[in-house]
Amino acid sequence: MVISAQRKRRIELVVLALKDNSINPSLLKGFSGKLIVQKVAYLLQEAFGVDLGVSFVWHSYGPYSYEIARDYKLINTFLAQNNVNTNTIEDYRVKGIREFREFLRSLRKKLALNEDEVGYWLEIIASLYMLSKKIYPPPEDVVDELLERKPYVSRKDALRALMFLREEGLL
Amino acid sequence: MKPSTWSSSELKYVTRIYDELHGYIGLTELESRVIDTPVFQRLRRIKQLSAAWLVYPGAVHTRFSHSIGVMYIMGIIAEKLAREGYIPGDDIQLLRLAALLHDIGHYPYSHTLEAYYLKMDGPSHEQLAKYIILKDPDLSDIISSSNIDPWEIISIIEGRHKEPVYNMLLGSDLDADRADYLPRDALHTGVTYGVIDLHRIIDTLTVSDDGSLAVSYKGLHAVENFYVARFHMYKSVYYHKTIIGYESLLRLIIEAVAEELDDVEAEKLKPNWVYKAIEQGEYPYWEDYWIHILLYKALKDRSVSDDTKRLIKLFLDRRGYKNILDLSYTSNTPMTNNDSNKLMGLYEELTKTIPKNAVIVFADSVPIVKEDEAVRVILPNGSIEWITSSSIDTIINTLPRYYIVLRVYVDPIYANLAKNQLVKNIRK
Repeated sequence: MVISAQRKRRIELVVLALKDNSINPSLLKGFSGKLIVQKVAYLLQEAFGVDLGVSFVWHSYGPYSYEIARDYKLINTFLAQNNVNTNTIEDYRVKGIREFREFLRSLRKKLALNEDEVGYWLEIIASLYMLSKKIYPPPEDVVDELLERKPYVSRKDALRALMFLREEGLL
Repeated sequence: MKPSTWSSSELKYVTRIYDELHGYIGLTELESRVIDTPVFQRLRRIKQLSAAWLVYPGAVHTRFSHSIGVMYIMGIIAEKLAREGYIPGDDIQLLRLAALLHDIGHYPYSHTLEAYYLKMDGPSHEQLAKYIILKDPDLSDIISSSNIDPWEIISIIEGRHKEPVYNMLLGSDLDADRADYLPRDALHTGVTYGVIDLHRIIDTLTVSDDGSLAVSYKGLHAVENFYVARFHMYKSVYYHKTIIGYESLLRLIIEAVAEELDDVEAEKLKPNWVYKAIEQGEYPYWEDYWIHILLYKALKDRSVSDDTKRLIKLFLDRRGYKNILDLSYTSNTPMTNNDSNKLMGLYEELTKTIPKNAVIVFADSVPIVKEDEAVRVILPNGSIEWITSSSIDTIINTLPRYYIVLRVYVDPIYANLAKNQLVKNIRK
């Protein structure tokens, strides 16, 4: 009704990926919170096959969806209320979310050793994934392309993220 | 508006078309061939503003003229950026073609019918555009015989081209799409405060050091006017209470017809029909007129209930659902839970005595100025700021960020009953 069924489902799927401290709630505030939610939604849909029915474009900080930007406040509300009906979510989507949460655990273990680095690494990883798989024509060198677009990222970090994506079997 | 005096140094025009907004628009051989395909001619039969003609009688302009207008504006901007060395001249044709085809996947009655298909997990108009560019028998042949890569056209329409500025030219606040539809819709509705200073905006557009589209400081007033004009158009046209009422009613009718009508035409309301139609060349004949054929068929068909037939007549005779409550307001924050709960509460209350399908609630948060997607301005000292930055003295910062639309519509039979019920509710 007021929130369409598709929008509610989309919000629930993102909340399922974020809940139970999968992402520390203290990070989901202000600009960094918006950035993390965008990258989580992007990776969920594009890398883990959890179709949210939204499209992503390249924005200043990498993959960005106008729809997810509009959902941000509701995502936080649902998260705070733990307001998700998991019974109606299809198995393949539940599987995708479970794999994504595993991926986050692995990211913490291998890259984002401090909790406040999670957003930074998600931004690099989601951006690298988009540049490698979705941008057309594909860049000749994905790391060079990333560094050109994000001068604040070091080559060392970009290479670590690329290696991580390969180890996780996503590239 | 005067005919265009722009000429291209990069493209060779073989013919021209007269546009009511921009004057003469030159067409290259490739563009002319694309426009002549049945799938593009279909856009002549899709109105730009869906059901707005039920309020503004002149709003019968089509996605055909809009698409050509977007291509024209894209061409002017691309030529300017090419002259300034920001993009290669070879890409002007690619950008014009992407602009020309950006709306090729629109549904009959545009977003009205798209919402119905999306609800059934059908494709979005962007997904259809991709499929059409690759699979429409005529269009795909023409593109593949040119030197343009169809995937590059698709990537621009989808906002994932390697060059971020190409995506912004067709998918940002100040893109060629908006730069055409705002003045075109203003012209055809007569809502004169929707008019923008298009050529000033284009003249001040440039690319910032980080590769984003930006305007120079001297274009600030024109951009302010653009935001104000758009705000007025949202209120007066795109979210006009009566237009939204008719579009919502049409969706309700389509849902009922899809369930009830026992006819081959009703098959076309199944979400996956459209893919087959594109491959088999049936898609060009699926447009606004088809909706009316469907409605006329439903009116005559025994399988369709009298209730649904009455709804169809309400739409055709312009006696649609009444907007009995409008709680819309402007705000700096999106719609809250309070808003949706209030609207849902009213719906629950009203449907205790009125049938559920006689009540439609409509709610949306319409962004007026998007803080993190707004236009960038190059200041006189060379620094780049979002137009919403507090360091820029602009009226943009006095505009509300959202237009929150909250409305209740009721079948005219029950309108008085519903109004009385609302009054009782308020007194409680």
